[in-house]
Amino acid sequence: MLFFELLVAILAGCFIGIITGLTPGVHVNLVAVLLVSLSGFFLGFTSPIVLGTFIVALAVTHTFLDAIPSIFLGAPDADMALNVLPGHRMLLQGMGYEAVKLTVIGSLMALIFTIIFMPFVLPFLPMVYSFLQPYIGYILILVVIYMLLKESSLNGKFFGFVVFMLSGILGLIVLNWQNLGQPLFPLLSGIFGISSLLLSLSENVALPKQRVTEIVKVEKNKAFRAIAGAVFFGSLAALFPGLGSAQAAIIAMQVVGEIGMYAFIILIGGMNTVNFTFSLATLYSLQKARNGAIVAVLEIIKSVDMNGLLIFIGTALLAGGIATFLTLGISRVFANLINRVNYKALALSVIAFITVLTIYFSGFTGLLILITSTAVGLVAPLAGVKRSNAMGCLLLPVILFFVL
Amino acid sequence: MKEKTLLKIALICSVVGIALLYIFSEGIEIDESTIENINKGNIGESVKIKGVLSRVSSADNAVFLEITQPQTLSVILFKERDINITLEEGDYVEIIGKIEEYEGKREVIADRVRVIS
Repeated sequence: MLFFELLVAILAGCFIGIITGLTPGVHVNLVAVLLVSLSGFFLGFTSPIVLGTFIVALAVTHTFLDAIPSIFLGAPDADMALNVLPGHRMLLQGMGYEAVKLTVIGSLMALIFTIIFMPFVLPFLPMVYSFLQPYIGYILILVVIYMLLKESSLNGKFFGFVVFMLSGILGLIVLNWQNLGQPLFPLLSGIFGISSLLLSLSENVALPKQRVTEIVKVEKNKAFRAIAGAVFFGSLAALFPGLGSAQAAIIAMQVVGEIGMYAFIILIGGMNTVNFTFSLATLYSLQKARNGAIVAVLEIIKSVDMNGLLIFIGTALLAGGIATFLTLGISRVFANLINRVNYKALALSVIAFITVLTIYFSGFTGLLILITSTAVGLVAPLAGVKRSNAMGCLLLPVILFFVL
Repeated sequence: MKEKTLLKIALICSVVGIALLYIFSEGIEIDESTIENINKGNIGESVKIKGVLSRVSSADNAVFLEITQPQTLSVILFKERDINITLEEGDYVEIIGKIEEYEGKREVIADRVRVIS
């Protein structure tokens, strides 16, 4: 019976999602591409929709689990880059588990609200897409200008611009590098991961005992703004190719106003879950894929009708529910494990791990990128400006993609 | 939000997901049909048929099959993706695909061919 085949595929997708979510540098796209190449074999005994649900469950689970390496190890993927800093700050206050819980609140609530609002926006998607498409590059330019103007002093504005351009040029070089495997891994790990770890090491930071408590409270108003921001801007990112969760998060940060560190983590947590979930709607409405996993789904099932969309929505809900239990459970294990290790040893091991993975994925070119991006990542905190300016590494290439 | 509340919401989310899957997987399941029952009104519809392969011939981009029930029907399986199954005359197979009309004759463009025995 198809129903049971779907359940097995979803459980398998959640299981693989744990592995991809927890392992820095292993992206959903890698498994999705592998599945497409093996689809001839799998379609001998199952149907395309079952393989599609496997990929959807895998991708949704990944968007929940990827908070753990980002917060506990400071090793983010592209969608979680902005979360390293507040997440790591909470870890250094003994609240790593609470930080992960905030991302889970963001992911689950934003997933539910995206699905609730989907029927209302679905009919207007082609219109919104064709109306906004020519202006996306210019909207991003305005957002960057606004972000730089928000730096407090003239000196801050200048250094903010320097950080944006440095990281932007580095991003342009890295993303256009021919035959480079996993270019984002060394780029983002250097700018947001290793640079933070080096600063913590230089300040002789000691990792306090991690506690699993419920003391973090977020004002309802701020939580609402965070989730609404995640739903709206995550959906926008899903509509336009090239516009990722991280870029949408920068726009959302400027629009939702001051929401504080906790609600910010909710916003970033929700953003990439919404981005993936809403790409199911764009798949149905525009029959176009907006990320690697959806490309794989479309490759296997060829087209999606309303019935198929509803099955994928059911899959996203079930995988989201399972992923909530998994993420909180695994996060508790991480919090307990991390209590037994010395922070200095942990930080050095993570830096060594990221370096080895970089050499494995991207060779010695990747190592060069990792060293350069770490240096660029250090400029912002040393100059006393916001580290989010370093998102220029993703924003500048996207702006040029839309404007040129 | 308390962890208990979050887990309750996750549980409700999972139950709703399972319900959606149960309801809509019924709609996607294709009832088995016979070649005799396929008529002009079914063109464009999805179909599932079982029968014995009475002809198998391969070209560069497609495999041409004939399935017998005892009535016969042409089936075309395009090699858009790697086909790892070996089909031989006499195999008892299940075919899922779309009914099309070509030069006045009905045929099935197969999405999936599975050898049963």
